[in-house]
Amino acid sequence: MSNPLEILLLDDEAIVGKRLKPAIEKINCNVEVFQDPQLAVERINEKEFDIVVTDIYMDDMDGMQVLDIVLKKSSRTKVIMITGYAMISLARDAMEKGAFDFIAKPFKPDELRVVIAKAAKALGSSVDLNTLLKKQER
Amino acid sequence: MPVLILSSENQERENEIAQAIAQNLEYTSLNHEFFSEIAHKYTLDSKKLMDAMNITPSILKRMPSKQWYYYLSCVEAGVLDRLLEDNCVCWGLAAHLYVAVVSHVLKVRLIGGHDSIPRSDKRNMTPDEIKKIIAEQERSRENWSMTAYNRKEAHPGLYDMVINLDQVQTDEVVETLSTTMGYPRLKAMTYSINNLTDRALAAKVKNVLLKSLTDVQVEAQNGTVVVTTTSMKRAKSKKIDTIKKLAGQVDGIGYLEVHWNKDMLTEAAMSYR
Repeated sequence: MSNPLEILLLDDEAIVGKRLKPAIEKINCNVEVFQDPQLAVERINEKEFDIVVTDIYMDDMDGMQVLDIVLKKSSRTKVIMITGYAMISLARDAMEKGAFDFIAKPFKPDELRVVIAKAAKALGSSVDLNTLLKKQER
Repeated sequence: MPVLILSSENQERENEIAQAIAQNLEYTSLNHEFFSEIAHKYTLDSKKLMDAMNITPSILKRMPSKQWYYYLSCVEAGVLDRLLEDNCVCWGLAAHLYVAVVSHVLKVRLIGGHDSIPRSDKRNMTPDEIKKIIAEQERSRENWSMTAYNRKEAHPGLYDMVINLDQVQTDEVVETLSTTMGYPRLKAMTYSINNLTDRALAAKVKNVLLKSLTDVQVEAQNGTVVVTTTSMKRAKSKKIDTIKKLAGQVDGIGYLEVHWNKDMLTEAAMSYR
């Protein structure tokens, strides 16, 4: 099995991190959850993550700024944007800035796991979703 | 991967441009040739299907409203299903009217280049006569698009880009659009793929319902399908049951909801009898 993927999950709603962390950990990933964008950025400056999953609309700093900071720090990191206020212009802007994917809330954990598997593939790693999820069920 | 949808009054130049872009980018082409496939798939009369794309419902033209809407729904369902495959240049199928809010779809309107009247016909016409005919063609298209999708086909707000063929050469248009299709902002993403999948699902449900019913609007979000319908109160249960039964045949529906509205006009008319 390949090394676990290092993932940072940022969403100012506590429930999102609480719900998604265990769902992502099931597919061989280490997940660090943040609600405060400033603290998340501090951590991004300390450590190179494989994948950053970030909400877009937050109080102190928005997800687009986080996207810029992450890609400035490490261009190999894949950034997945999640938002409850999805709009065509926002989605296009995020992709233009270099986001790996853009998901509208609400979504099922499975949907995010599929995107993480795609990001892992793009990073040269692999996440075999079916095998890992079956193992967890046993 | 992105999809390019072109719309134009000038079919000849539109054809030329679309085919050149598809060839440049090695994308598949989806155009009027697809009508025969749709006619075969849904067992429709090909000539009537072509007519439905050009005329509004009329008893005189032997195109009743119910049949017209059903024919259009066949085109919509067929085209949307095909657009899910991506990497496609689509034109001549009115897709610009029913594919909206999908970020990996670039919609372009080509205006001007007034060759919509065959050159042989133009020889005997004055410039004023040509203008008059073009204005009439535009009015007729607007009438069609408003009746079919409640959208003005020529309205620039419907498109990402409008290109004037009187000012830009064909090869420049091909080059510009081929380059634009490579922009990261047009990359397919989970959000846009889900949007298109929902639209394709709604179109399939609408198509199944319009085969036997009228007055149905269908929307889908994350696999949840909402059908809105109108009927007289006494027909309410029967209509809702029929919708549930028919829509239930379509694969991919997560949850189905039927919203019913009272047909006030018919109710009022009946009460005066």
